[in-house]
Amino acid sequence: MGRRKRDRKRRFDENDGGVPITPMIDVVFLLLIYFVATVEPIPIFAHLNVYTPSSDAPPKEKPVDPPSLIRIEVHAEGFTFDGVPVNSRQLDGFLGTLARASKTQSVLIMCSLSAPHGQLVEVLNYCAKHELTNLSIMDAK
Amino acid sequence: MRKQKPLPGVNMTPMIDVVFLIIIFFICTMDLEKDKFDENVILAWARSAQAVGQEDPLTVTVNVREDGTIKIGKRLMSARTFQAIMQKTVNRYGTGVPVVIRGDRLVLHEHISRLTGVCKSVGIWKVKFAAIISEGE
Repeated sequence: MGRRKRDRKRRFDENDGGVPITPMIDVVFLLLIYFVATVEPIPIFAHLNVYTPSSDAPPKEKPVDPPSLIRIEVHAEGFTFDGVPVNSRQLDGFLGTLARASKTQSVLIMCSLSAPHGQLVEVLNYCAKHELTNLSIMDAK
Repeated sequence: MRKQKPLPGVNMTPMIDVVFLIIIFFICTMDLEKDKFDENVILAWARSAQAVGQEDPLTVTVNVREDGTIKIGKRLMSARTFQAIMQKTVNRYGTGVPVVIRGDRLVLHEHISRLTGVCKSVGIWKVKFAAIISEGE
């Protein structure tokens, strides 16, 4: 009886070393892998589609009434909207008004060769903002 | 003969196993396409543009630096070389290959226009401009 008591005491002493942390680490790493695999990164980049009008496109046999064309010029100094000089905010407003009337409105963007690329992207951004998709880009002299 | 007691301490073997598994996981999922972005190109902002979704694996990404230098991957090239590359691409994969132009916000449109002209001349019609939509994390 006394010996059994001693054995039980010894076993208890051996297991008293602390909580086994190995399974916990295993599970923590599995959770880490799960979260890394399922995380959805915030989108950083965007793509703006470019449409360049082609002169050799075959003409349609029965053209439907073509919508009137809005012309935006992009220069190094700023923008013009149908020949009227405008700043970024005004351009945004005009395009918004245009989009409220018709989102399929044709917009011709004429970009000066000396204009920085950022200016053109700004115009495309406003068009994307107002969901104007019928865009064409041309070079202006 | 008395049996020796094992030394007390944390069992490291399973942890090392898991750490190696994680290393393998990260190596496998590492973005190997990082080379296609030129760090010298500062993109323009387009907060309203559509975020980049699933990209066509055939997409050709062209970087255009502020001084007009053209770069694909790690290679700097002239407009003529770019045209030759695009012609070969079209011959092999057709005209549906998307081209993404990552132009610096300050590069003159003249340089961008040259690239769109090349794309047009070889028949590529899927041309896109890259921009930044958010600051990320």
